[in-house]
Amino acid sequence: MVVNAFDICLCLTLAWLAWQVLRSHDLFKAVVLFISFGMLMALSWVRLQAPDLALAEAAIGSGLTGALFLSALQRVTGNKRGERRLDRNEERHDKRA
Amino acid sequence: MTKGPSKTASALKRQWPLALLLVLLFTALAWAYLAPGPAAVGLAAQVDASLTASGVSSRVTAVLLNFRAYDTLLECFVIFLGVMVVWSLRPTTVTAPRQPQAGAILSSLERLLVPLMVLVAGYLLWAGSNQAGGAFQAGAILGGAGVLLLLDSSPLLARLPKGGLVWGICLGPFYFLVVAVAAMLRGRHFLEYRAPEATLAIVTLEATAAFSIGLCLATLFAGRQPQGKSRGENSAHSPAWEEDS
Amino acid sequence: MTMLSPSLIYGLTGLLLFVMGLAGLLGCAELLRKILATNIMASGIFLFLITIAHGSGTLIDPVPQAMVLTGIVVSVSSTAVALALACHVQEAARRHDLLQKKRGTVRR
Repeated sequence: MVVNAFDICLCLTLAWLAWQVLRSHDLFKAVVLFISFGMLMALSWVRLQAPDLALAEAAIGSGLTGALFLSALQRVTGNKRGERRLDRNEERHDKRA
Repeated sequence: MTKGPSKTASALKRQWPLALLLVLLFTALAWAYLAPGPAAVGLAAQVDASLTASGVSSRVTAVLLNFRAYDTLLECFVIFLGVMVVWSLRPTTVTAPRQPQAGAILSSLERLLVPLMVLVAGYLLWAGSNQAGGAFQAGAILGGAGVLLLLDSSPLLARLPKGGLVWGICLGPFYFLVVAVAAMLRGRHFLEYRAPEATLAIVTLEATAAFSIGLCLATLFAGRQPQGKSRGENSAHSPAWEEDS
Repeated sequence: MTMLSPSLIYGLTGLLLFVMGLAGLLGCAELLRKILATNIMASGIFLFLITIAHGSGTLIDPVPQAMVLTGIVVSVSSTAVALALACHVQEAARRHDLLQKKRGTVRR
């Protein structure tokens, strides 16, 4: 059946995306994969005849959660930049001392 | 110690005992799901029977804002508490770097999309009483519009009234509480409203809840109270770790 | 079993996602990835709940749908709180490491 083939494909893609989110070494890649995971979740809500959930998931699961994760990632890398600046100051301090 | 600077040990490592335990867990769950047993008894028939008394014709909205309104009330307060927790955290010493070159595309996109998103949110709110849609979807889209405005640190944000944010966040949960107590004052139970006046109660509840949820989501993205912005940027120039050396 | 019904496939996928999210939560070291794993776990639970809402009859139960709708919004707000806390924890840990390093150089 065509219907079942589509459902099976969707479920396999969901599981594969979740696995890649957990496996990938790059955290940025993991976040982007998670956003696409949210989009496919919205599609599966449509398949399960829950349009309310599809609307909410499309707006929240892929949009807002992704934005939250990306801004948190940016803050973490900003901290790394601050650390580098402190290291440079430290070296200067050590040279002076 | 907890995190360390190790960048390589990032992704899921091979841990065979854990994998074995989780495979066992999955097998047990799948067996419990597939095992023959009595058929699940849902509440669909009960919901359909009392749909006319609820004041709306959408089944999910009726469940959310009439039959199980207590859950929704608590859920509004959970989001409110989330904002309170984020606001009560000390501002981080390092602010996220800004990229001014993204401004042109982002601001034109924002001018195009934000009015459209507000329109879509209004439509979803209006459609929620008889088809898919409602307070949560509208609130999510309003929150998305707020995030778009925050990304560009739009001049529109500076024009908003200062104390309005706190009142806007409080509006949804506390209006819910007022409606719930008003039902008690009329000699009914907490949060009990029926067909004639229920439609008005649900529509106003949905509008205020959507507004507050949108504001809360955008505030959660912003991450801190807007009044502390200048203070946070000042403290970024003098990091806290230089004080105690 | 002659034909897999759609609800069966989605239910099993929900269980699989839950177990995978649990694996990520227990097995990953980074806080951000732990939060991602928790979100995947929540998605699995939501999928399973909606699947059992289908049940055996033709009528779809709206109560689990309403519960999951509430759950999605609560999970985004708890994710935001967890991310804010994770940023603070990482910053504190980093500051602690730097101070240790600094004291080490002073002692030398």
